[in-house]
Amino acid sequence: MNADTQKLSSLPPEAAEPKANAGAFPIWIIVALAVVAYAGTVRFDENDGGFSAQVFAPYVSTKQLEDFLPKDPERIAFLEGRKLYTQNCAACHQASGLGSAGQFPPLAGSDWVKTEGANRIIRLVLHGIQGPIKVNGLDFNNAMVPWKDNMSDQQIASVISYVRRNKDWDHSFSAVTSEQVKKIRDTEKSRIAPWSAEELLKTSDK
Amino acid sequence: MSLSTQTDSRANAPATSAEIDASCRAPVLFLFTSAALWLVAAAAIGLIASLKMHQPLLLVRGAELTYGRVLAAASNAFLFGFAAQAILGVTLWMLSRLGGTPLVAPLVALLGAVVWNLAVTAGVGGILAGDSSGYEGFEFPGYAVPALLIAYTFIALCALATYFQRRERESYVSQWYLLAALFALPWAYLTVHSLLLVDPVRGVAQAAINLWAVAVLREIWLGGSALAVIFYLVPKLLNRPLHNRGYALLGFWMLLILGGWTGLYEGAPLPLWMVKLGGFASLLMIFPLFVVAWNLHATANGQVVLGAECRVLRFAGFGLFAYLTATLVMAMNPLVSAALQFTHYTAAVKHVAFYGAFSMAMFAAIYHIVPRLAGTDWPCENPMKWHFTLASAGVLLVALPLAVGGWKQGMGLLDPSVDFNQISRTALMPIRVSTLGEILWLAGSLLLVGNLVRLLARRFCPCAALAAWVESNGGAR
Repeated sequence: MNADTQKLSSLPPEAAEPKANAGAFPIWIIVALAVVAYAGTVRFDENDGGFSAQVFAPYVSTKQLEDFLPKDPERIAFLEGRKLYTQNCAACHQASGLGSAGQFPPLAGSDWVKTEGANRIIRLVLHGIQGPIKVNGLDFNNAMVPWKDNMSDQQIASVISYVRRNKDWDHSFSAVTSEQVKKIRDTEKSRIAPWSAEELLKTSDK
Repeated sequence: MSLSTQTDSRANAPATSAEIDASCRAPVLFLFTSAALWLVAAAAIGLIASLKMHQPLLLVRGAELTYGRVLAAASNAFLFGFAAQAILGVTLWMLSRLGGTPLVAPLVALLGAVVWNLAVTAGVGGILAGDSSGYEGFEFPGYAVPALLIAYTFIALCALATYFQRRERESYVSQWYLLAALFALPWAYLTVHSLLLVDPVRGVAQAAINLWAVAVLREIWLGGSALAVIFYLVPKLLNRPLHNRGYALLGFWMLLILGGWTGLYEGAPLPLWMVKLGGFASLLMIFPLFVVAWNLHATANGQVVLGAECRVLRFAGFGLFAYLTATLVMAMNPLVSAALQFTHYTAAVKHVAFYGAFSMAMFAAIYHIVPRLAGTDWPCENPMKWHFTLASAGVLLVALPLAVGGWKQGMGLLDPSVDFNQISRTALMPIRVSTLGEILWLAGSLLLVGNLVRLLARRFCPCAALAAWVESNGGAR
């Protein structure tokens, strides 16, 4: 200790350890803080997106992820219809629905699709069609295969609904239910040959 | 250690400064000396990184010295080699002094410090060898972390035990900040280690956790420690009491609450509500900034702090003003982030915070504390003066060109008619100037080591001949 004290003498004298004067929070700072905090909360609220679980909650299973998918029945039917259309119809009628000139008639804007009721087009899809047909004033002469053995009532309803309600084609006609399809399928069970345009035009669209 | 003195009649009377300094001597001198050596290492590696920005063909033989590795190695050597040890040294000494009690178990702290240095060496070596964890600020490979934590626990327990044995019951501002910093580092580090490395969380939370942890280090650990030193030295050296304890309390708690949030800067790849909250926290930092500035201004009561006659106060004053500048600029971040977030401007702001504010405050602490531990004053003031000149010039020469260059860069990036290569070329000159700044900083760091070695050799070297040799080679007295 003695040696240390001796050495310490070479240091200048030291002030006592610092202390703080007593004092309170300045109240105006608290008030200013509250005002700024309010503004911040409002701004925060504008940017939180309602804390949607689809955005912020991590999913832990495929089931949970599927639950996040849209549940709107119309949307589901539309997606299903688009899938069936792409697989089965787009080869001839094209994804655009415009067909190909002189070969396959268009569906987008077609006077055969734009009918009030969908019964005629249901028949057409069920049994197919063959021979000359006039679509939007243009003549076509080709054959479309029947779909009654390859598609269920529900699938036919979906694909026709897709065609009749496709917003990209400016269509917003009534949708088709599987009951409608089933009814026509049952009443015309005995039919074997595909329709001709002339024959089909005699039936009612409703 | 000196339990016998505590059980006698003056058990509750504060210990004398000489008793306290004697108890702190071994661990704190060891921590400061190794901190200074790591500072030199960090500055040297950082200089390589800086050179590579405009001399890309320098040192390209092996993967060890590629830019990505040297930059991470320099930053981690600075943070955990220099910063952590300087902070721990200050913490041990200041908690003892302000608590009026000798340091508890100094040998345990010394052991912790030795292990800490080994762990940091393994970590920096691991980064250079390519084992970086890849998370900014926490690049040490996983195998270095357990040793770091064990070493830290040793030292931190000594600090806490000393605090709880204090004989001055009322705590002072510096003690709050140091205790917060003492917990902030393991809190941030363990969070990163467990949630990003051991059992990683998924997706965007990784980025959020990393940004939060970096902000905790910057604001609470480094910023809080710098404030602890400044709040100690300014009243102490001016021999005036701190103006207002209430202001200090407000500033302290606001820093603690806001600190981590400020990391989620505007423009970060995170959900919008997070960055809005982060930007808001940055803006709110103006409040603690203001109360700190006002409190110290009122304490100084007209006496000069920036550019003071006293060398130690001069370091502390530079640190204080750099702290205020950096915090103010960071508070403005939400306004400029969209334009400047991918430019050298961000590097400039970080440099002011890490080197201008934190390091200068730590230099002040080291220059104040070491002579007391050694029991003898600095042999001469000139090297200290030169260290200040070199270090402050180094900080300014890095920060100013990069800030201006970064600003130009940001404006160029916003202008679709400006060619990207053109923008990169205009950024070259600021980077070259910043390399000059890094060289000055390295020279200053070497002076710090030289100063320490001279003083310690003079005081402790058992071989008088060696002491005389060091003395005669240390320049004019």
